[in-house]
Amino acid sequence: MVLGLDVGSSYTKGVLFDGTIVRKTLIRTSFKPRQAIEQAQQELQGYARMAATGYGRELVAGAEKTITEITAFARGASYFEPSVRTIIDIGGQDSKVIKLKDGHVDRFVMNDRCAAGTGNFIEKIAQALSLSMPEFGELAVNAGRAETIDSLCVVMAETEILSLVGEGKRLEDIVAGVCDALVRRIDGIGSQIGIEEPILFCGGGPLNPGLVKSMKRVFGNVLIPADPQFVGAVGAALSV
Amino acid sequence: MFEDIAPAKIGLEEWSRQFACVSDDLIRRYTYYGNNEWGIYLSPPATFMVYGARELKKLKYDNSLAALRLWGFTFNESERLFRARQNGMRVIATMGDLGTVPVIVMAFPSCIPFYPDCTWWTPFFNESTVLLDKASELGVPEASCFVRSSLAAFYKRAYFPKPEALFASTGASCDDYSALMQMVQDLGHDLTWLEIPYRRQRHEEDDPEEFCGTEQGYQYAARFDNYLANEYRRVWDKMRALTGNGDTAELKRSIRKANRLRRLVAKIKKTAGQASVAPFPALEMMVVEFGNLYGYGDIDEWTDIVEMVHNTVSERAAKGTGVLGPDAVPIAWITPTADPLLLNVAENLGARIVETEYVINQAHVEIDENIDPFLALARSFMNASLIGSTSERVRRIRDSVNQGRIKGVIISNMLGCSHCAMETRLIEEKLKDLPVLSIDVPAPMGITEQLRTRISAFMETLR
Repeated sequence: MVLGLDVGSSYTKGVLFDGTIVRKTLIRTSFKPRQAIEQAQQELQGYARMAATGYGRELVAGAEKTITEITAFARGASYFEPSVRTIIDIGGQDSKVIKLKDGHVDRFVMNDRCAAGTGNFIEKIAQALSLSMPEFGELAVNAGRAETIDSLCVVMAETEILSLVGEGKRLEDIVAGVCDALVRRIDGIGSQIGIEEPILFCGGGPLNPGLVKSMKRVFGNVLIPADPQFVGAVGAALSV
Repeated sequence: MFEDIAPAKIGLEEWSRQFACVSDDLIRRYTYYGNNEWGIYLSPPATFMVYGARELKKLKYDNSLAALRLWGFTFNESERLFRARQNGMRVIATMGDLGTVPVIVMAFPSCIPFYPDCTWWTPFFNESTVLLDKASELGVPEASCFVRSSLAAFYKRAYFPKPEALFASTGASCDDYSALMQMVQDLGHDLTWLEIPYRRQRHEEDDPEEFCGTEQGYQYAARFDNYLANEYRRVWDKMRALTGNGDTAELKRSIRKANRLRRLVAKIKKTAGQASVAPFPALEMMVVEFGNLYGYGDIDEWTDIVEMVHNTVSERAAKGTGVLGPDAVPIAWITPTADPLLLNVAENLGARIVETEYVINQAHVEIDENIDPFLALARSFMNASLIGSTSERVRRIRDSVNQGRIKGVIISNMLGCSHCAMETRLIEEKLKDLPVLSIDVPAPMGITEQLRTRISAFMETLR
């Protein structure tokens, strides 16, 4: 039995894996990654080996192997959807587009310099609109026609959105526009390496139905794995 | 004592402990400008923390005597330049051409060439934005190349003495340097400008008679030979006027010295690249390569150091020992990284840099010793990295790929740097059938976990 840990900036994900996911846990990392790692290890006892990925991977004492999220997502994707050619992960601190060839990473791009291309973009806008993330997602999925948000900068977008609110635009259409803006940004980043179908959308992003709708609007058919948040953790487990 | 030490990369404290065992005789043996009183430069890298180089505590260094000499010599360049001035030597700034004008300057006794451009490393070694902030105050926007720190260094007068003469390049040269040098001129310095011609391949409609080629196979308009030779004669005339002498026999001697150094460095690169295990770290190798520009102002001593590096590298290669593991992934690195730590980081993450394109190809080619020296300098310079097309620039990298020597390429992209802004994407395009990672070199102290992850992931894809 292998414990795969994905110590991300927002959440620490753990799976107990023996060819399938036996048990899993999701813990808020906050600014206490060591605490989150210990909690995951406690909750998922019974493992003989351990591997880690994510920004906090080097903090996992006793990990037999540590790999980057890029490689972990590629391996994890092969478990969930073996035919996948492109993986898109919209994380809290960065976003990744990973192109696969024969199940291995061919090329990848990351956006980690600007919040506009990350899940942080949506969180900031949701905060500005006093919406919880579930509320934000539900509103977006019920939109009629998504408003166009041109600004790529979070700060500028916030101003633009407040203008739309002032103009009396429907909140549903505004938040859908926010999701579209983020996905267009991902499309722009991914175009550097070329996005090919089948596309696997993983990480925390697929839990937001509005974002999923935008992904499908921009990319067409997008696959969502059964446990989208655990793709990296499974990939780590598969690395040993 | 050094004979018994296994090759390794060590930190500052370990170097200081090791240095405590170095004999006084050995310390006294190595001097700059041949001066036995104040010219001693052998000291542990920690010494230069006193000068403000705070990044040194993060770096790992080769543990050989050759590396000790290399770091002691290069880090005390600022002191050396002020010593030169105190002792009546002339300090000459040679900017932008990267490798040719210093050969002329070195033909004049007691004239010391240096590159103010190289202060672009200072904010990184010092982990300080003082120079960059001052450059902003002087009117160079934040969104420009880190070389803007050289303008601030001219302004502050604390990093090198005021040069007696300045030679700066424009035309098919780095636009950032040229723009900065115009601002240096405004600070009251007397500049001599050289205009560098653009090297382009012959088109179908061109008369073949009017084109020629370098030994490395770069085509260019034949008239540039004489044009550029005359530009170098202007440098010569300026130096003659400054010093009151000038003997072309000395210029030929200077060319021979430059060639000896270039041959040595070529041998080191070849031996290191072909060795089963990396015999010398990438950071020290970069310092060796950049020494070709001007021998760090004392070409005799620098050549002696490089000779020692060559011996160290050769011995290690013969024994199959080195500073990285045998599983390190061979890659090429394009464009020098402004932050030296980045090379350390890349090696820590599993890279072995066996091929480089540090925009100084002109400083690696030999200069013809059998023709008019100015014409010879002109012809050697026509191999320059930045005066032609992107395809030409990456041709050597492509050759290495074809020979199976490298598995991937990292391009360090300088934010705001004029050629990087356009060229990084073009290089990616030219090498698109290869694994390529382009990274933005962050500001001082800006190497983030995300950047490490990016390099680490790239290494994982190459394994």
